[in-house]
Amino acid sequence: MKEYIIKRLVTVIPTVLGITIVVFLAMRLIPGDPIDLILADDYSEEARAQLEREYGLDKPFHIQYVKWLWQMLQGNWGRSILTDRPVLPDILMKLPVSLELIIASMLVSLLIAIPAGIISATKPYSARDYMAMTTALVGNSVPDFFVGILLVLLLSHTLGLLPVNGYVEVNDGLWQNLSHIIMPALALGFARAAILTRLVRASMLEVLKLDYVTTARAKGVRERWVILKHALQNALIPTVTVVGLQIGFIIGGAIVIETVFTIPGLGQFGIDAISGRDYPQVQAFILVTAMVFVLSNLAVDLLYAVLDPRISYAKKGSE
Amino acid sequence: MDAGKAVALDTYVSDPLAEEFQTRSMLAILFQRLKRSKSAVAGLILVVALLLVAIFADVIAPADPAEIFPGKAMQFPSREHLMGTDQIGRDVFSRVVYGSRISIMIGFSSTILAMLIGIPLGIGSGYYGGAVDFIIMRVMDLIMAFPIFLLAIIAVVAIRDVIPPTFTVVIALSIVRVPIYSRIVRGSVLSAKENEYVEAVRALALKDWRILYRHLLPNCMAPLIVTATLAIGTAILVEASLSFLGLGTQPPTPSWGYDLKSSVPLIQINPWLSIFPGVAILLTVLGFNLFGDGLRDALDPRLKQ
Repeated sequence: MKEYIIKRLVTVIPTVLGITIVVFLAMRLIPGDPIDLILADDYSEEARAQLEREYGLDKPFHIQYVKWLWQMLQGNWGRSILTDRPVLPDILMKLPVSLELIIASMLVSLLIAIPAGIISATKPYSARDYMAMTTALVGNSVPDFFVGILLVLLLSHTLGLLPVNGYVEVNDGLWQNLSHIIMPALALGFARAAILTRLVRASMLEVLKLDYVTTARAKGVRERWVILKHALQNALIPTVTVVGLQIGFIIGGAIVIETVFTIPGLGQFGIDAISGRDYPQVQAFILVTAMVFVLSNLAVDLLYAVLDPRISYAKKGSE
Repeated sequence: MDAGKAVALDTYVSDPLAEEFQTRSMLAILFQRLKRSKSAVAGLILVVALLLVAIFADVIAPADPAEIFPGKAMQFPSREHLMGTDQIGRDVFSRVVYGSRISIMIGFSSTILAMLIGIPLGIGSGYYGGAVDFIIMRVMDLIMAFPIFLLAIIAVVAIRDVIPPTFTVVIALSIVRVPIYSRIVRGSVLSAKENEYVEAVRALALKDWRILYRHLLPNCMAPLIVTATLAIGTAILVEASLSFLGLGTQPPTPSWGYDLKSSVPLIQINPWLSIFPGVAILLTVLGFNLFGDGLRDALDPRLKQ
């Protein structure tokens, strides 16, 4: 397992480099010459040539990239055009807010999907199974932000249970914080729960057919225990893989959901930067979001290694 | 299913040369199988209905989507305005009907564009192998290193100043989908390349492109069609999200995502403004998902009778 973990850690390096290349190229594709902007009315060919030398823009592309990467590695992410503040500390402040939303959404999706999948699988083709599967189908087709809007209508405007939007930090009260994050997390987790429910159901159905489950039942193990302990443990392994595949959608969805609920996270930061054409901020937004994606995929893969059935099998043998 | 048609399908599977002559019976068989699944039929009905709404939008919609009815802003649904009116007095029903056009247009054209780029890349990669394969596949890996939605945003940001907004969205949505098609095609080309019939046509000294087009491509049609159908739904969903953020379709073009965005602040006064475009997106994507799932089952050779 140690070998696998090291291998997996090493694969992160080319991915991260690749991401920086894409970001570097994309930012240079944007029309509008920074030198024109800086010089404005004082434009002259000599001044231009001098500035190009100064910024290294006369150098070939790959050298420019290496220089840029070096700057970024040193934490020199540039200054915002709109606020003139350094970009890096600003975006790092937004990061925990988005991470809370992303993690909460994943928890919500699992908290819905695992019980729903089990309930469906233990009585397949029953009314409750059809109901769960239909909900899952709809959940898979509905935009996250529309779920968000419907939740606001129901839970805030009609029932008055939760605040409409905004964000409160944990330090200012745990309940306050949670009450602001529950609805966005539900909105974001719902669609993911839909896919996961179908998966948990399918893999539970597979596992329940296996001999070892029959053996456990024959030994007189209680049905609840057979399902929750024996079957679920193995049925959850493919689920972990799919949770990993869903992270990208959750991160993408978080960008939209943050604007629905005016949560001051990465997404809102990024969208404001994009509409204000504040390119140093845009660049930081893309880089940080992509990094969150890469690192969370890494985390899931490592978790998968921990959950590997052969490893838990060995443990059971020694018990 | 009558016996003749079943035989026709078997011939098709084992002998791609016969493909051209049997397209019709193939389609008939496909339809037969689709009909067996209720959800696939429901999906097909939704998709066809949506296409009809988009095509006949000017007949169905009672008003121009941009027409303002003075003094009639923010009305609830009524006989006069089936879905009410929006904040500046436009007929919501007409906007939802016309909105289908842009969704359909973007869904289909981005999917077709992605296939037009992805399929040749996959063929080149699988057929020639070596350095070509290595370079193409690394570029595809790079694209897939980003969450789809973030990549679409990057593409929009990079090209929005040079290309009109609707095309920007189409290009962004096709870029994110290129890897999936190239991978599917590469996979089937790799496995088909080793088959004897390909060896045989090679021995006949047919040109490379002819081997690829006539003998390798038909092998991956099934997964391509299924993926494309599901991709149209996803593309419509992502377009709606981009428009919701103000990065997609721009006014005055009526778009479900954009109309939803402008309805959010008014949700307490007139929730219908949000509900109708939202349900339109939901039904559209649901239609493509159901139909795509049905197609997958129908095209699955393992489920053959």
